[in-house]
Amino acid sequence: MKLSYRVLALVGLAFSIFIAATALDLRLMTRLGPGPGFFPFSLAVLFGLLSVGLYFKAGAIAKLATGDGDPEPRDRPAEIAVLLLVTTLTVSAVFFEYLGFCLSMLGFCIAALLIMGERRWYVIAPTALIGSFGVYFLFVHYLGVSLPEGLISI
Amino acid sequence: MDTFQFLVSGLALALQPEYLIFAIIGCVIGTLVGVLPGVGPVAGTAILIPVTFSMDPAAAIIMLSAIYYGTMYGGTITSVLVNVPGEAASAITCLDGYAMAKKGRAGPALAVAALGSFTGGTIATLCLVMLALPLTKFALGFGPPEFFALLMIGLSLVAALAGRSLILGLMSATFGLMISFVGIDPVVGAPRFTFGVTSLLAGISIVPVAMGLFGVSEILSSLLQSKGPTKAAPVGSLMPSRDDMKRSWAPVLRGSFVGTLLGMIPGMNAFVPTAMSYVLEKKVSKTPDKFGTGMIEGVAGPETANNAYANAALIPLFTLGVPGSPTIAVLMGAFMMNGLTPGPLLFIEHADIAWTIIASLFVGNIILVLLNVPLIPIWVSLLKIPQRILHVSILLLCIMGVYTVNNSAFDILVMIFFGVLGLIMKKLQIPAAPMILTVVLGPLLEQALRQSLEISQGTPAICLSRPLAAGRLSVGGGIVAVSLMGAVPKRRGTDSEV
Repeated sequence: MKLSYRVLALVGLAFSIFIAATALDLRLMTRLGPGPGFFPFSLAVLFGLLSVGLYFKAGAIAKLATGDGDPEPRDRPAEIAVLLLVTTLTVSAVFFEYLGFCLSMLGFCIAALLIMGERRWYVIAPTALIGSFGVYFLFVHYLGVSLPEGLISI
Repeated sequence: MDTFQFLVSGLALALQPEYLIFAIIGCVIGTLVGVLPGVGPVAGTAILIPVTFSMDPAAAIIMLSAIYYGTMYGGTITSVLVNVPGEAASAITCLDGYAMAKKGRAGPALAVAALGSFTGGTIATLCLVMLALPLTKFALGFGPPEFFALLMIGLSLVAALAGRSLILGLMSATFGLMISFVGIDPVVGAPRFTFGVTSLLAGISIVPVAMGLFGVSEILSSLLQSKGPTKAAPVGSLMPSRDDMKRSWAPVLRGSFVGTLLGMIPGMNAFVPTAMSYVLEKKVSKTPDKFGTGMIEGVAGPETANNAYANAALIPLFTLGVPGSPTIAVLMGAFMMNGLTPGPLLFIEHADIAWTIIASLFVGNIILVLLNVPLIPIWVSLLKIPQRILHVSILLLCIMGVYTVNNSAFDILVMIFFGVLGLIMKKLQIPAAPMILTVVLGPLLEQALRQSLEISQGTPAICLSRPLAAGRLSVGGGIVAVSLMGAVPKRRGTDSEV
């Protein structure tokens, strides 16, 4: 945990430097006081200071987080499942408007259920169909919510 | 019109079939959200915001508020029957509620919790009714400096939400503020941190941030923890005995007081009033050693405090426009997305809507009792739904909900980003509550300060020269000081707060 907090602190510091540099390109002050860059710059400085604080207090914070016990052991298959689910979500989001709600969500439901360990087709098929076409029909036609049609329209 | 007349006219509107139906739908969804472990009130409220866009603003807020306080009751069911709190505020109920369930007395525990929730919610709503007009009149005298100082109080409460480490809490809050500054600058009109992405010009909406941090991250996190199937204890007879009622009325009154009082303080975590009520009941009990073995007082007090807190937390939002908790911050976002600005002007510009919503809180509390107690077996049966299907359904709702806010797939990507960020924060025990609070408060705070400085021709002393603003800034400073002082002694000990 201590190492994780140190890495977080360094990432935070780099991020704060980047934000401060970007904020400097905006005006810090105008005739009537703070300009568009003033608050982001101030916050970047604060974030940087907190990151430095975190770096030096990493050990104490790690002790607080884990107590006296050992940190949880890593579960590789579960971590891979999380990674795959995030990838599936991202792909679905990227093609959401092109494919439309029904097709993208049909694909997402099938992929997500498989990633979560479901293998029974009689569970996957109805869940995916209800989650895509069923939800679309309910929300678009009954609740008046606007969802993308994409390649097919129902 | 006086308070009573406003309330009566609000009640007349709240009892119209349209509003009544949305209150019932909200209570049902809220209970469902509370029953299902992993979906908290923040995600539950945020997911449904887009559905409210095609609705009447009053109906929309009535439904979302009902989801909020419905969640508080729903969490009790799983705490008592499964020993798994549906949301953090119900965690303390596990101690005696589950012990009662193991003795075959789950029914009386749930019934007393329902009656206590009703009493607590009603008393807190009465406080809202009584305080609404005086606080509104007081707040109407605010200019930008006073409003800025008031928001600073809200911001200072980040220290209270910081959790175990102040540094991590402050980092979360600062990051939230930085997110809130993405988009067009409100005064000069210059784009900030948009990096050429057109979708970022309008800023980052609270909905994808809340859904990512509290919805998606929860599901990703649950994938990392393998949980076995949930088994519920039998409910048995719902009727509490005469002895149960006799032992419960005083804890219910004390819980109402504790919950209402703490709910009015912005920044108070929902767990605090329930824990405080439990401790209070233990202190006043003649048999404190029996707590944890199935004492009805240990259910009645905290569950009452829980719902009293939920209703009382609406007081600062309605009267001052200050969100005191992450769920209330999401609710505030829902107000604004539906064209309503919470705060004193709400009672001037939309008095009918404000009083209809307040009156609906009374109606909603009655609906919760009537709806929940007889339907307990149905709520319990929901726990049998396989987690995979539940998780996929929640993700699907999140995607749909986020997309419909701006009809933008970019928002889905933002939600996924915050989902992953939320998971990392969870693993590193960084609290997400300060971030969501500052995402809402950031733009308001910046606008108020810059308007104040325009009035004073750039002199920051304006915030200190006006008594109301100076007073509030002192209160904010006091809150930070108390939070820091609370951290110092612990830092010296073994269980330090950094």
